[in-house]
Amino acid sequence: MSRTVLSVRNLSVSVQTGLGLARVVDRLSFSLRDGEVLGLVGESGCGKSITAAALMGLVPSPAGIVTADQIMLGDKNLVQLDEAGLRRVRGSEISMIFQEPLTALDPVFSIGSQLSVVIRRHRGENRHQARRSSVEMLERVGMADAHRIMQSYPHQLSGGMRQRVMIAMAMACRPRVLIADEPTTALDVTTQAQVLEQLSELGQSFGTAILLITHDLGVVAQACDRALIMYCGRIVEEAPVEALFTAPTHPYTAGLLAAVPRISSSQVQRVQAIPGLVPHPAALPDGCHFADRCPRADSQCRTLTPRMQAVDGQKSIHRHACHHPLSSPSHAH
Amino acid sequence: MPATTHYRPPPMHTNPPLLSVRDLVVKYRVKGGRGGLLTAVNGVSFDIHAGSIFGLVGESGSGKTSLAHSIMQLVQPCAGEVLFHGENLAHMKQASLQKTRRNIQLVFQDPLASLSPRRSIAQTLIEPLDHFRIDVAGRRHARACRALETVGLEPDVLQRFPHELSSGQRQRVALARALLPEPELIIADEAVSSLDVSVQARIIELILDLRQKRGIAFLFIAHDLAVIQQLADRVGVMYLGKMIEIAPAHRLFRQAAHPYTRALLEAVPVPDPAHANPVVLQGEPPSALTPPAGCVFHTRCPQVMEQCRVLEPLDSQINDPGAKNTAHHVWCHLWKE
Amino acid sequence: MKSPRTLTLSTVFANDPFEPGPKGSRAWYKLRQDKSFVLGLAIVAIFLFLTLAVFFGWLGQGWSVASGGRWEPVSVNHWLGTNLLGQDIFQRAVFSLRTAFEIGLVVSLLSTLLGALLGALAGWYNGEPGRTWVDGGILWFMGVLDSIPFYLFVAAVAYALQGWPWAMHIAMVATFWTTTGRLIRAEAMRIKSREFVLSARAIGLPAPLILFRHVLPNTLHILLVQATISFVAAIKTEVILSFLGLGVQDSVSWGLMLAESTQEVLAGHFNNFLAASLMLFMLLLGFNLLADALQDAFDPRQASL
Repeated sequence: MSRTVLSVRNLSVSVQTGLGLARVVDRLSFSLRDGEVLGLVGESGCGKSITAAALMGLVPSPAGIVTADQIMLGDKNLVQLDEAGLRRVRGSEISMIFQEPLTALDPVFSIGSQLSVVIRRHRGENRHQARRSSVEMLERVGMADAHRIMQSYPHQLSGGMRQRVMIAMAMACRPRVLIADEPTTALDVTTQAQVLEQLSELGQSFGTAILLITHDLGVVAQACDRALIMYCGRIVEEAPVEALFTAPTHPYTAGLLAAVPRISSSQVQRVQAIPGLVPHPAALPDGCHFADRCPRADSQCRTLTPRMQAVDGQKSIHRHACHHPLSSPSHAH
Repeated sequence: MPATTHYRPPPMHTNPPLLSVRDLVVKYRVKGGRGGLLTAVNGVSFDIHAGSIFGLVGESGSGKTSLAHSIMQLVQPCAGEVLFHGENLAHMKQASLQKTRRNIQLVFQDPLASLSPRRSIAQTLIEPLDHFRIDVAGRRHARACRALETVGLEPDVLQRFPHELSSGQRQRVALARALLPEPELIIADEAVSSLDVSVQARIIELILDLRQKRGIAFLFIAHDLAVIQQLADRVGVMYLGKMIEIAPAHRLFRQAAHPYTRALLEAVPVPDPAHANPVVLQGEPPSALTPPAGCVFHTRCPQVMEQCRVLEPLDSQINDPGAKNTAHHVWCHLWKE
Repeated sequence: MKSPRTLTLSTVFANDPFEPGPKGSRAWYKLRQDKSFVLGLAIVAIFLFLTLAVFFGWLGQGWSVASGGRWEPVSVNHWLGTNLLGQDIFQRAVFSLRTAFEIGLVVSLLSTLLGALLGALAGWYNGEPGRTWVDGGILWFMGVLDSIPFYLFVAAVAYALQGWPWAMHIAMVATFWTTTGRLIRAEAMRIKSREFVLSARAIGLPAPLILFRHVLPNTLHILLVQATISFVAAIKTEVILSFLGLGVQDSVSWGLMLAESTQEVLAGHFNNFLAASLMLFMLLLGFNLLADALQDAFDPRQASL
């Protein structure tokens, strides 16, 4: 059993919306193990991106409240750090890459100077050393013409290249944890495969654990070892990726899998939509949030919130929060 | 058990096509820097028959959105023609152009951006009715309600504003708006790309339903081949402004001819962890400002030959069907007749 | 064990899916919580009330009457004393409110309107093959106006139209509109490429209809802030014009009072000066607070997560 590098207990985030206080993340608990790629999967509004921001302690400004029992990064509890402490940790021990690198990179500075700044700040190298390290990092993420890229500006690069620059910047200081928030969503499918491969390869060799946030189940299948499925601020299923796709136990997971179109060279399988709508976070129903859309729901589901429990016989590897889980291998395919 | 559909080749159309695009070229002037002309669409031809769904696939920079805009005459093409019911759109008089505008409707990718933020849904839906003078003024509200019903929304949506709806609901409003003038063709430009997977499935069901019940033809533009396979009868693949393959859907997904199409099919992430995604295509797509000579794909083609660097491939038909709309065309030197 | 520390995050949903009511309600929600907005609004409301009182003839009517002796001190009859000509300073200061609002409102409304129309036209025809001259022409015109030193130009126009009561207003509108024009032009260019405008063009709606129905209503946030700013600018400009003798002729304004008071101050009498400058300061402070708060509330850049 490998070490746990990030341990989150009871993370909650509430925000004020037009309809009242909304619990957008509800007592989330999970662990990220050394060297693994953990997928945090869900549709828009489920709270996955806010979870990432909360972990980094990002963007303070009125209207939101974050509470957590603990966010342990190694032996540091991030919840107890002040802004200065968080700044030291960000970039060096825990870093983040975003969906749209064009807005995450400063348009008026060259790639080389932005990369060097990050390296100098956290690794304490001088200008000359930092430039050399930058070139090394760029080559490490698969950029062929690293020296030319160093002189280029963000708008001169393609989306895939910018994203690789972001990865280089995030990984330059060999953080223990990398949070990747929808890193390939804005990329073409042919570039997506390249970037994902780069990401997992780097994670392996640098020993960085990756929390990969995505809504794309194909990305999860390709890049993740384990995955957490989120719905309305809660984790509904947690499993190794093979088990998740072949034998999901939560009806929402099964519904998602049935809704994903798959290319087939013979028979086309018609996608199936999940009936109903995602509820507004300020007007969440009691009990299981998925009950209104679930074909297996009954009165117990609407009153009693299901708690995370192990799928029988799996110890704590495969867990779900459901009163009436699917027990047989899913008919999703 | 989800329904499976066996592929049937689409019915043989002996009628002329509904929409015919011939050698369309669209160029933009590039501001700033060294300036120059960007050729977004470089000589594209294809047909869409009434009641069929044509899937247009391409990644960013392929020119598919420029193609859609130029069909609607939002952008004037530099060369080539767009024929609707055999008539050239560029040469039409105002009156016929207005009638054509009624018959071809557009649905965009970003549902929030495609609805005017300060107008209610009712105002947005009634606008085309007023503009095209459809029906009597008093009955337009009822029509709007019926359109909403068709797309599965409640009439109380009419009083709301776009930001009050979810993205799935907004996209359905956009579809309702496209349906109101009772068009023969709907151009859907990445209409489901920004939606969640479960919402996307619902819209896909809706489009299939509309095609079946009302015989509306669709030009469905997307970058996601899996979505295209759900919908299209016929598929065209674009790369850097050129059409490189057109085929009936069942042939494309079973026997794709062009190396780019094959690479695309391999690159689509499969929701199955046992499936390894080989990285087939290396390098970056070239800039559309300076497209490669010869075949536009030759810089990344795994099967590139000498002539590909110099000679532009011509249209080859690689099967021998009875009707035009089941023909399989590819633009590649590997398949030269 | 320390209790969990709370951090704060900015508003989550940039596109809040089910926010009830028109978009403006989110901005008003923010505004209600903004202390400077409340303060600014309070100040402006008080002044507005006083202005209406003057307008309806309840206050300040005796501004031109020499009702007292020269430089009388503060008394029950003359709340702020009298000036060189024996006129009641308080009455003059309050009547000047009406002048200020009149100038402010006329100039801000007209210049904002003009800027909105010409800016929208310029932005819309930017890059339209065959019609770029509209954009080019309007931009050229704005450039010409902007390159003339501001007060010189305003003074020249006011001088040339001297005698005509609206000279000053025309001069200010003619120069103020360019700022709004440029901002609206930029915004129109941005909105033009958004898909709801493309939809309108795709069904063949004519350009003026699209501009009025779809483009301009989405620039209201800019127009509101600009109107507030130009209100303030108009009042301040009037002060300077009055010093140049080109201000109000047959009425009273704070500018005029300030101009008069330069001599009085030398003689050691400050009431006139203090009254005018304090009133001016308070009103401008109120409007500035409003403008700042409005700008913050309508700021489209909300952090999204």
